Amino acid sequence: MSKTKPSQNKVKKEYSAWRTIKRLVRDLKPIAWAIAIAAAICCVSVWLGVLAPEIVNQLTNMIYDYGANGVAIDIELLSDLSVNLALAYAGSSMLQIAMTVLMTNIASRFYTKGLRTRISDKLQRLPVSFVDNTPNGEILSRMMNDVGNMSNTVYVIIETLLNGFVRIIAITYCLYAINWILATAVVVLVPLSIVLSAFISSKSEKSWHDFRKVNGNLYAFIEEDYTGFDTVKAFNLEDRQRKICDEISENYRQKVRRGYYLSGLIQPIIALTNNIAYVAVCIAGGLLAINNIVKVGDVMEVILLAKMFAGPLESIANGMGSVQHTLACANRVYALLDREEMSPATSDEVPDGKGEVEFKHVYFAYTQDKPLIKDLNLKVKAGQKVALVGPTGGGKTTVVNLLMRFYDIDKGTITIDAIDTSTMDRAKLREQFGMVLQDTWLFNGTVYDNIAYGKENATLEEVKAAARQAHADTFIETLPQGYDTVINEESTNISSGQKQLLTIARSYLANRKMLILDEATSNVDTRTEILIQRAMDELLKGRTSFVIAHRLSTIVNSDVILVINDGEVVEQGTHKELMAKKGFYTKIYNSQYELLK
Amino acid sequence: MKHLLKFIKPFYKEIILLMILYAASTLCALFMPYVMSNIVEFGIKLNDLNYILKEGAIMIALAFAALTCALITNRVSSNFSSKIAVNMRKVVFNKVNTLTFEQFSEIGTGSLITRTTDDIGWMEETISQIPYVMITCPIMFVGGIALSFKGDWVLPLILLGVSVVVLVITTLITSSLEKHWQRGDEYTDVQNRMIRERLSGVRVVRAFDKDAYEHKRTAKATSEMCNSFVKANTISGLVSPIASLFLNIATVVVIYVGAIRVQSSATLKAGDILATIQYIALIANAVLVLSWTISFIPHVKVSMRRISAILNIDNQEEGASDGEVLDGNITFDDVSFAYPNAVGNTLSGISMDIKNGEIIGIIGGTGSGKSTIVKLLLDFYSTTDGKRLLGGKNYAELNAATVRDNISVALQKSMIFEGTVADNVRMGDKSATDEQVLEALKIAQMEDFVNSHNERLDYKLTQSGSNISGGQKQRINIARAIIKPASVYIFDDSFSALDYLTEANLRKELNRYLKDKTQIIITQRSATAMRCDKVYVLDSGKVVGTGTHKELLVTCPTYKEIYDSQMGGGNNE
Repeated sequence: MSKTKPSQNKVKKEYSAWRTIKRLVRDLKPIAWAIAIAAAICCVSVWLGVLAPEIVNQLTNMIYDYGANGVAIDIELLSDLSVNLALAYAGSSMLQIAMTVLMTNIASRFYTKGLRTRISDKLQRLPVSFVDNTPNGEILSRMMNDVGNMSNTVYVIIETLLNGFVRIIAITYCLYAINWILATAVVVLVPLSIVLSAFISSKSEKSWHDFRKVNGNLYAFIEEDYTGFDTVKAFNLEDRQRKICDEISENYRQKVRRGYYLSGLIQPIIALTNNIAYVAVCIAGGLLAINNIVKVGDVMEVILLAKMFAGPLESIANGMGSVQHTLACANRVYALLDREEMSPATSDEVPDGKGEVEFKHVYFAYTQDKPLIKDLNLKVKAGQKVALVGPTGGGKTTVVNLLMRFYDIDKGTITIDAIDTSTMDRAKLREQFGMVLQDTWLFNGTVYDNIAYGKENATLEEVKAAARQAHADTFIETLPQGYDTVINEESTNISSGQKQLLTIARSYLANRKMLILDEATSNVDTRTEILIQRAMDELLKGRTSFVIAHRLSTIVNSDVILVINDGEVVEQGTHKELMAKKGFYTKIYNSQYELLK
Repeated sequence: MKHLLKFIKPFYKEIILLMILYAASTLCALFMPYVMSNIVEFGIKLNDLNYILKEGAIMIALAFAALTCALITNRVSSNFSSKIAVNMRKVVFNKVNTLTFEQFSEIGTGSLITRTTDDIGWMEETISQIPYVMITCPIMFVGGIALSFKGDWVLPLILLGVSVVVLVITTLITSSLEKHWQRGDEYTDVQNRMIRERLSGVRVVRAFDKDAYEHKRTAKATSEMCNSFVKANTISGLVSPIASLFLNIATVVVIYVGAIRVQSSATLKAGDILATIQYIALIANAVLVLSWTISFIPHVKVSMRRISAILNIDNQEEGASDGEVLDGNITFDDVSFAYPNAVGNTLSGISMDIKNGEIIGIIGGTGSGKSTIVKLLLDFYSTTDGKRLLGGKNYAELNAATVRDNISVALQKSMIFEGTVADNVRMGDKSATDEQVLEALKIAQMEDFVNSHNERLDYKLTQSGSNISGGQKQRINIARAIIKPASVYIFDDSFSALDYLTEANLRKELNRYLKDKTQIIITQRSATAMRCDKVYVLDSGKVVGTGTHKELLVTCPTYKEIYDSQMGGGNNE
């Protein structure tokens, strides 16, 4: 049976703006109601927007008439109109407030929160290979920057386009009510402007895509630098890092500048077209009026309306200006959300807890051209302590990766209690194992939290008991706040060995049927290690365990020692058997005394 | 805010240019409606086609002038804001790299990342608005006042009175914003931290089936952040409608009062009142823009405060190495050290005397303070008490960069940067040739690794080296350490992921390659310590034994215990 790893089977879709737009629109479905309300609000506020200047006109005309023709001002009418006007303004402000509340909620809750939550959710199902091969900053930049930018601009786009179109429809309606010939002459502007905006906008497409990419690189670079802060300091790499930062920043600047420049072109160009069109309509209207085809009054009204057209068209142009940037962000976000996920379980069988593990003709390669594990066969009986030894890079940790299904094998089968692990639910599979890895992982939380990570709702007593077994209790008790001491973000406030003790305690507490120890005690001193070993042997009685260690003293009492070199088991047997063979193992074993010579 | 000004200042020319351009385009925009109404009033109404053509030409000319202004503005402004933001980011980034470890941990990696990326990104967006606000507000405001007072003084006063009210209300509304932005930004930091934790700990998270739990935690932080942002955005979104409501109502009052006044006064002319009403609109517009700007200030302030918190840090490590070459003599004289915020000393009364060219072992139990000595040697921290000498010079007189120029280290936590194998090694010596890089790798026992890849030295390593094994990471770190020309070489538990065979070969080569250089080897293994000229045995932050392996077996019970525990495995044979 053959499976391919997601990393090599990347869904390499060509970018298509259209597809992303469709996706965005489709994603808007759940908030269609909100957009409908927003559209309704828009309609009313457009109506008020026409009404208010009309009243202002009437009012000023009253003053004008008084001044020019001596017509006395009708105070009652004046009061009525003023009250109406005030009401219209108040109404318009209320609608604006309603729109703001609605839109910020949509933008924040639907986009910022919704998309980030989806990405966070997606992370649960992405294969380890993806996480291994992607810089953290790259994923972070998509989740933080790209989503953030999307929600800012989507809001602008929805609002400006909605508002623009409603106003255009209203004005178009008025235009056609007056004279269809002139109206058509004006309305032709709409598709013209939109096509023009879209054209310029499409020119900026590449810049925005490049920009978002550089932004991701920059994020990844900064994340890496801050993560490797001590190395940067120790090697006086500040200058080197500064140069790289300058380089990426310069690239960033060029891309962002070009993007903003091209997007910024849209609005003035649309304004120019509007003005030219306005003059054209004036001339055409003038001609029509002179030739008595259309009444002068109608021409004047059409011209006034044509003037009003500029606003919404420019607003649409503004919206269009943000479109490419948003699409570039959306594209990156969707690309992450579309990443191939881990294959689902095909059977609900669960190992019965004996702990028999078998590798049959297992082949595996991280990169296709470099096979790492070649025809690996091993059979572990229930309750055996299995040691994996061999040169570094030979594939020991890879065996753990395959056993835990952090990576899926290319060929062959791995079974636990005769169940093919590739068909199992990954969580159910991993539940079988307690695991302590070479790379200690602690999170920013208390010591208690970090140990209790292995067991939900663990009591303090249980945590303390686990710490005792891991011989972590003595050092924990000397910490300023004991079990409530917060491990800092860089976990620099405890030593590497202490970190390992905590992860061992964590795995004790989890109390799983099998155990994997990958260099679990490499930073722990040997005295402590031996004590842990004793506790562990107690714990491991009757349980299958896999131990990777360079300190052979910790594994000599294993039931089976597998010597792994170049992805193959080159020797296999107990310590005694292997020593008798005088082969690879003997050589490794004796080398530790070579140092003594 | 003083930092913001510092970044903006160098661009005063651009700002002035932008202001002129905005002024010009404002004039075009003001003149255009005038021409438009002329066309209607005198052209269309009077059926004068020539007039229409003439004024039409003027209008198109104006339109092109406006376009030209807009194009230049666009060019300058897109340049200006991106430059400021990029400069700011560079400065912040470089500053972070000069922080001490204490200062760095105080803010935390996640927050430092969001400050360098998101907060500055936000500044970038708002900075571009500054010249526009700076020019249009005063022009409209001053112009509006000057023109409107000419007609009548009562009406503009009404509006000015209301304007004051509007600005006061705006300030009041937005004063609550800061805490929401602050909270939102803090939760952004939390999200960042959690995602980084989840990514770096993906195996542990998966092994304990904690994905759902981690997701829930992240989602909660996202939700908290979102709530704060919704509050902040809603409140700042209220500013515009409320301000325009007040200003509009004021306009109604102005018109009403204007009408009454014109009728009851003999001196006021209707034309003046009409003009005044029109010009007052300018003031109203200026106030609107201003209040809109005020609503942005809290977020800018919060972002700027977060950035300034980095820029304001004093006593960071100063200066580049002065290139002084020091020999490998090291003295620790009664050195004590306590980590910031820790109770009790991590090291107390450490005295060491290391001669140039010696191979020194430091051995001790978990948490005995071995790595802390490395941190003090590298001047990552200052001592609480006692003094350190390198090449006979007191650390207090050396800057940290000079110390680190003379000391090379393979740190306990191997760090691999995204890039090729050669890139990673060359971090130790940027001028190293391919041959030198290869030699360093060869000594670090990485020759086979290099040979096994077609790309050889150009083999790409992923971030944090997830595509190579732990032992390979350590050895690349060793190669990086030894290629660096220095007089002291520290290996902090650098052989822990290596098998004995590899370690034996590596150490043999090291001793040849680093002949006459001081080597300090931090280790748990007595087999490693055995081959050292002198071994310091550490227990609970104190030196409990000094001497050669043989001497220590006799004089130091702690050492003997370590030795026995490790050699115990051999008895099983």
